[in-house]
Amino acid sequence: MGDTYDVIVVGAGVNGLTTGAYLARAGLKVAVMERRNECGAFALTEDLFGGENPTDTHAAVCFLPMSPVWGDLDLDRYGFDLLLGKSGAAAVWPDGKNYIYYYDLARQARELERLSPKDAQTTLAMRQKLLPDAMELLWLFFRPPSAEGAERLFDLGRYVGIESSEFRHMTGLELLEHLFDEEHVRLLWLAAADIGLFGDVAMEGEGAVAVMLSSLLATGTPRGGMHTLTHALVRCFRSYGGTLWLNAPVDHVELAGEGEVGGHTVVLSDEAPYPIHELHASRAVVFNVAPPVVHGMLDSEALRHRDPALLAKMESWSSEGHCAFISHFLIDGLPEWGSREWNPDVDISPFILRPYDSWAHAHESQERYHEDDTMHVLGDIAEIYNQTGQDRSRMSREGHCTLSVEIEYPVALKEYGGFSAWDNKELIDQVHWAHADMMERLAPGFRSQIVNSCYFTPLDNWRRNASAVYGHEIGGDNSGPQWYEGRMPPRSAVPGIYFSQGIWPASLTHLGNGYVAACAVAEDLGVRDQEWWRSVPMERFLERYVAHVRTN
Amino acid sequence: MSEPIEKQHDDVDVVVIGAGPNGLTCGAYLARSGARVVVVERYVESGGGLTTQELSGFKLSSHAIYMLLAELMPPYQDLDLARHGVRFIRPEVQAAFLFDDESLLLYSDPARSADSVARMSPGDEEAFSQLYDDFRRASEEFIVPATYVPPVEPLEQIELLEQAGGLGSWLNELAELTPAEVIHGYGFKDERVEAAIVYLASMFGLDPDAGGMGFLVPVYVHRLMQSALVSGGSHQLASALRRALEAGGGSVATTASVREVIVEEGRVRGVRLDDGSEIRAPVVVSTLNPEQNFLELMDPEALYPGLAEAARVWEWDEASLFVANWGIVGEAPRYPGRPEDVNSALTVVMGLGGLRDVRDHYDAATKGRVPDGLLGHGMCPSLFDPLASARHLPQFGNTEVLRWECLASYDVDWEAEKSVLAQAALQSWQRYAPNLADANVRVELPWSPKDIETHLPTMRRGSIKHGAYVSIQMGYNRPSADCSSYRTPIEGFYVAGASTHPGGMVLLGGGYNAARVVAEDMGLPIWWSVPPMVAQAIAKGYLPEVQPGQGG
Repeated sequence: MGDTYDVIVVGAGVNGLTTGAYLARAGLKVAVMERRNECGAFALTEDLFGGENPTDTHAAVCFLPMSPVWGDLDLDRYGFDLLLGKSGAAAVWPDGKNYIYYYDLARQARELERLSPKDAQTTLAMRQKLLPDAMELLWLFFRPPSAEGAERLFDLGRYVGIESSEFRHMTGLELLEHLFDEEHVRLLWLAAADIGLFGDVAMEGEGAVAVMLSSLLATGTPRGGMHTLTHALVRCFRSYGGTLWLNAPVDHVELAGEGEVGGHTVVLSDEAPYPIHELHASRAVVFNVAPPVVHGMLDSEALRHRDPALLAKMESWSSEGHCAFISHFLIDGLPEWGSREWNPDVDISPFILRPYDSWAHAHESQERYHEDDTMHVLGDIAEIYNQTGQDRSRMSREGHCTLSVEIEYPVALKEYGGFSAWDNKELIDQVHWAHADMMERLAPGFRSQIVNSCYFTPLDNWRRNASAVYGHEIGGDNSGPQWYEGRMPPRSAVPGIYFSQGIWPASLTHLGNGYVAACAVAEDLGVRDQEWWRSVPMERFLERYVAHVRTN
Repeated sequence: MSEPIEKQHDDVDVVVIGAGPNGLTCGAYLARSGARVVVVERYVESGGGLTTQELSGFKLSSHAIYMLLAELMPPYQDLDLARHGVRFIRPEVQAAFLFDDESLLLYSDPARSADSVARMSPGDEEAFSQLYDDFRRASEEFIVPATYVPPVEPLEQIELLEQAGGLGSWLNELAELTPAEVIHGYGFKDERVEAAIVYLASMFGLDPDAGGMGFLVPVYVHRLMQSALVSGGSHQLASALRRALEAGGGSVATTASVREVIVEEGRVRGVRLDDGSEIRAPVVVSTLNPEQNFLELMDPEALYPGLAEAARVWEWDEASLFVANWGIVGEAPRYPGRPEDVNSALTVVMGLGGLRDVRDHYDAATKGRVPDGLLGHGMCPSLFDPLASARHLPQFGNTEVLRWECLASYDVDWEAEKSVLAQAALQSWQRYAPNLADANVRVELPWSPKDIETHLPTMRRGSIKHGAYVSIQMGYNRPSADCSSYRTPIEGFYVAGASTHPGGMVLLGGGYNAARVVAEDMGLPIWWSVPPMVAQAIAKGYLPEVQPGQGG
């Protein structure tokens, strides 16, 4: 029957597409359902300022270099082209210093030397011990959590001479204070760890883990914008016979009865413009939507009986941490970084972190972050995106380009009347222009370069992406009770029900959670053993990087 | 081992250039005939003018939105587009014209329209009913059927119509007139009624005073009283066409910009893409414009100087469009002091006083003047389509999409003017719908003629129809007598875009007609049958018995 699939994935974000593409390539008949009219709710490039300035509206830094997915799915064949310059990122300070996270570790060491010879030595020593185990550590990231894995994570302290028993009680800030003397050095590692991939730096244990793992981060810039990643996945998925259902909001999923032969039924909302509203998943349903949304799609009474632990996890799921407010500025020319005299390569760094101004500021902000939910403009690390230095295709003929500033804010905004305050024009204009002022301090003249601007609040992001509860871009909080073993499992106790959001690792453009879900389904269905399904983390990146160095 | 990526493409039977409505249609028919088809598209997404940008959950169809022929388009049935997710929405109240103190309402039910005419201008309802009936017959019996067959040589067509008599002779008379003359002939007493109908006829850039274009008036006017939206946004039609193409085994290669059509020994061998890679194929179907086809992608000078010459004298559309979309938190526009039905009208025309306004507006749009933002038409697509705005968060207020459209000239400094015009349009709209003053505008997306050209480069100078509708560029002469059969003098090279018969406006006619010609030439099975309306037009003698090119 035409409307029966082996596997139905709910949600065509990049991770849902990843799961879909792996399973389609493994020979299964797969459909991916999407409520939007296009795929990739957060990995998309839009023409916010007219057609010549493609802007990555949300996700703008691509973590795919870390991922096995790049090689397995051979995304280069589908129009994906990841630019690798000298570096993927930089950190800047208002005092005129900067730091370039060069891909070349020797260059990185030289930069650290300039800030602190002693701290450079410490970093070097740590790296020498850690690098031989890097692959094994990265695999922890692309496999479901386990007690063994947790032990391994808390054992990371041994690379810097700290016992596991002590390490598991250290926050990221404490670890950085222990390791480094110089303020900029501490801050640049804090900034890398604070992106939120590996856990919350201010929390005990996970904070220290986040700091250690952050040295394994690698990023790149998709030529033409992040949407090319989404589209490469779409093309890959379709090329293996996958079917996309766009404008197809899922209302609920009816579980097959216990012991019943046959699968689950995915039921579309009434407004979906398709003549058929019930689709059958004979073998698996994969939810690539946030746990609170899954909760709304499944019959809680059935779950209470069949997978009570899962139900409890979803009921208690928190998405109320901090969420992104993104300002986009169309500017005339490239920004004139105040720190370019320190190192001009800041100009070609696509992803720029503004760590806290000082270590004291970092402490103060981290405390506020956890204890207070009123809004302190610029309370957090700023992530700044300006890919045009590396990808000239993003500059218009008039010489305009987009620079984006992303900062996390507390979602609740109690002082301002709750979450709906994110529609309060006066308030959100104020936040937006404070971002411009921050840029002015880092890149003098910035405000006069602004041609046009717009912004997206956490509420805008939730409207964009129904799965982004409170605007949460990675499927919910990724710390404390929702960290590592506390995350959603990739599979339910109900046969044939899987998850790719809310699971370990957090959903981002490394596509790790789509990968983990694909592994779970493929193992259960006996299709995991594929000749092409053999890439390891970083593999394609290292190949490309070697080629890149040779030709440059 | 690493190696530089060499883009390699499998050989195919047919390359279609451009994944707009015509390209996807043509590809879908041929794929289902068994040809190996790839549709190559320069942009990251398929759809061409069927573009819907989804900003913060607001689905903004920034270009095409009116589906004039909707279910009448043969591909709707043949390609089973309903199954692939096309649902047309046809509002009962099709248009409202807001005059100073009165409103004219046009319904999909002509009797109701006649009542509205009678209320505004007693007596004019008879002229209206006569006009509606004439135009409906002309559309249904001849103009729409003729859309889905290759154009007939002009003298032959005139001869056929003359011989058929009645409607046929009348159509021949129309062909001599200007749009304004055709409508004037009905003798409306109230100029406002006449102006409203002329407005409909010229809404997409038809010069109200251009001789020789009268034959298009019936179809525009009649179908603008039967027009439809695509649920989920215009792009959903492209998504469905793409699914139909893929269901037949064809594929779309996005971010694949064609640099050259490879012609060897007088025949086509495939295309070369911007990245230098080649797709070899014995047949290439281009949906691009004549300049691109015959001056840029190939050099036919030596072999066929006539082609290059025809391309050089090609005339672009005289008037282009300005469209602005807004996503708001607030209520749909309400028009106090006017009939209740105005509030649920699809198209709301504002700023129209009389015929002179239509002429002035057209004049401004062709002479480089900035439109005043007073005359134009508004629409609230989300009133009719629950998918158009982010309805999943009712707790944060009602959301709607607003859209404004008017004719506009390409020769304006749009970088400076487009936001100003968007603001002016919204303000003039507020004069009719004061509740819009309370709307919280969350996203604004103005699309100027310049943006059209940037996004859709084949629409040079913002030519939404790929070239002016003037008698020397219509039917058998579109794009030139050499190529209007969709075949060209270059063996294996076909044309199928809006610069061929029947032109633009998302009729899918070029792609549909070209598919038959290509299938015949390739000896592929023609699995689809002649649409009943075409068979009837042939039976009545309006169209030739054997279609030109059939069996060729």
